[in-house]
Amino acid sequence: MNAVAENTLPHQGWLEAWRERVVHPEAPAWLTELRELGWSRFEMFGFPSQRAEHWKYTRVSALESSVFAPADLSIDIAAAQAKVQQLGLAAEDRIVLVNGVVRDELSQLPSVNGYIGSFADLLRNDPDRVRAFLGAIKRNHHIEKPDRNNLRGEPFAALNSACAIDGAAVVLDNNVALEKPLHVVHLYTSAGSMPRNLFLLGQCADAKVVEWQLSLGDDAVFANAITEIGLGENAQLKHERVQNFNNQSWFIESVCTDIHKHARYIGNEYALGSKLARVDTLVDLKAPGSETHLNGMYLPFGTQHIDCHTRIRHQAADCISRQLYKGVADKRGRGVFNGRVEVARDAQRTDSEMQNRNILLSKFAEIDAKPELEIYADDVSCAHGSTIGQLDQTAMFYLRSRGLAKEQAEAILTWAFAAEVVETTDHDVVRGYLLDALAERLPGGDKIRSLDSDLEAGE
Amino acid sequence: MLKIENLHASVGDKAILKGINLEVKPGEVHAIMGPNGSGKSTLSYVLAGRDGYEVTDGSVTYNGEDLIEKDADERACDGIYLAFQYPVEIPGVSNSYFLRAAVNAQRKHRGEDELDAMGFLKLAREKAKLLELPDNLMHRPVNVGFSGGEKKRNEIFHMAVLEPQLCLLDETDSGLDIDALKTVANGVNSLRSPDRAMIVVTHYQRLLDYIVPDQVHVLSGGKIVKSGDKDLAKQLEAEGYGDLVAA
Repeated sequence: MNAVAENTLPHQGWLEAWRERVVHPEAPAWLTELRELGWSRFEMFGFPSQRAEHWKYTRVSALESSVFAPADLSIDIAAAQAKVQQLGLAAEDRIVLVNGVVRDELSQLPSVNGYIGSFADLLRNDPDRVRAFLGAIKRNHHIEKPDRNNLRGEPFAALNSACAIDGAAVVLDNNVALEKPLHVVHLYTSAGSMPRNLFLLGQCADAKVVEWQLSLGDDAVFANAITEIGLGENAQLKHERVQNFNNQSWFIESVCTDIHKHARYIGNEYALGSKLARVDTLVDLKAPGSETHLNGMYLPFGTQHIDCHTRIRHQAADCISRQLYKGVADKRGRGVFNGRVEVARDAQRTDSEMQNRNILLSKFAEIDAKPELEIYADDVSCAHGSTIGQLDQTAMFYLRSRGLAKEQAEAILTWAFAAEVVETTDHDVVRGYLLDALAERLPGGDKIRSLDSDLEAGE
Repeated sequence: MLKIENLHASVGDKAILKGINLEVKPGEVHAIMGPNGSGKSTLSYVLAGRDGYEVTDGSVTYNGEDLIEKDADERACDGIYLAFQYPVEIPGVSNSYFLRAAVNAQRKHRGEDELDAMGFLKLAREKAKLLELPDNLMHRPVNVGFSGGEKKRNEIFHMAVLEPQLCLLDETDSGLDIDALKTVANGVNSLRSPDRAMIVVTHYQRLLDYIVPDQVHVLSGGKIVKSGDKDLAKQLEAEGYGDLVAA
């Protein structure tokens, strides 16, 4: 392994700035060890090359020559405040982070049995609680047993482990149900940020969390986030994620979820923005009766590159997984969907479905779709399908037979295609935000959106 | 209003309609019956202008104009309406939005002003009452999560709002229980008028107890093999298609 570690890192310049930052002056020894492990793993991996199977379609080498030193934390609070207002979240329970650090003055934290707030504070005040779960990421990301050919987000996860200083933490004790949805609003102004989120739900706990990953302003940023989620027995989390960075920015994220007996994780991912975004959604169904539903929408427009990777591991019997991911690409946009389902030998009676549908609006747009199944159990029901292509011709005829011209029918069906995933949200504020984004981007979308609002208002 | 002469049509390489002759005058209701695979739905699709349904011979004139060359949306704007056997689900687009877009596309084609939201909703509510349509159906995504009966009622609701001249009802009765069938039939009957014609395609005579046709035609092997008045439907119900199909 030493030979690998000798790789010189051309990006060492800006990474050095991260290394020099004093992360936590009184950190416990185990945390310091974890950080050092992160550094050594990252130095071993380097930024992934396209030779790695899971990075075949996504090129991150430009990150090496970019400069993303730690972002300045003394930021313009008023601008962040205005953004929260504009999103319609001023009255909502929320954790607001700017450049990866929780800002109490912008947040509105509900009081619960458990903990909601800054990850850094939790780490300082209750390190043992955090410790067990920081271990989870090690397992999820093979930090102990790295396999260079099968790299996913490990290099970035390792970098985050080395550098993260804060993030959002939500810890709910047994039987605690959040009454209102909790919004976790990540705003980024410039340079680099590496937030680390931790959501732990005790037995029978229940929560709805909406995460926003957004640029504040026009500067390029590099956000490298990790969210670790642990769901105790019979717990339920509906986790919606809206990503809308500006077109200069890089966003890399791993969302790692462990689901225990009879617990349920619903993960909705809406990827709208960035120059390049890569998200790995990794779900482990660890005990009988656990369940996950993943819905995704990615809209690479212009010259955006949006890569959604999912991996669901059925590790116990009688678990259920469902995936619906839809992509619309236009201009020179490039989308990637790689969905993988692994069924372990003991995971009998697994019930799994994965659907991926894509539409290209321009002949220069590209979407690479790769559903994968790996099954070792013999009594399973696993379905998967993936399409890239045209609008449904029966639906086209249906619309045109009512008098709509071809272009208008196409616009409506494209809208409907994307809106199917939007409709999976539980929150009007998310729905409105996403429909506004569709209105802005899809051909004829502004008209569809405004007429629809008219009719709602007419009621 | 509609004159079909020696109509031949194919889907792909397969010839389905093999010489249909039919004339429909304003105010008339014609029933087209026949066994599965006789070409009933194909005839509806050909008249409504579905892509991939190619006319290989013969002619169709509608209000004195050649229909074959027109696209589906042009035909709709000229007053032809097809109620689908399997209405299509369109997630994310509300029924009211879709219908208003259709109404305004047709009004624009006729050189009329477009309806604003209030004007449209007033019209739509009036017609929804006719079909005993639950209010929320208008605001739900088109056909998504609708029951079988709701989908068919919604088709007739669209028809009522669009006020076509020639209505094609493709197996509108299939999959309906008797109460839903009566509601749909009442809706259709309320739209009968001296200047509107209807072609009702059905497999079962039952629908024709409620929508009483002026003429009944039996389609088999891509041709009309027998025509008669409403009693023909009763006869078919009693005796089956056996003899006709064999011929």
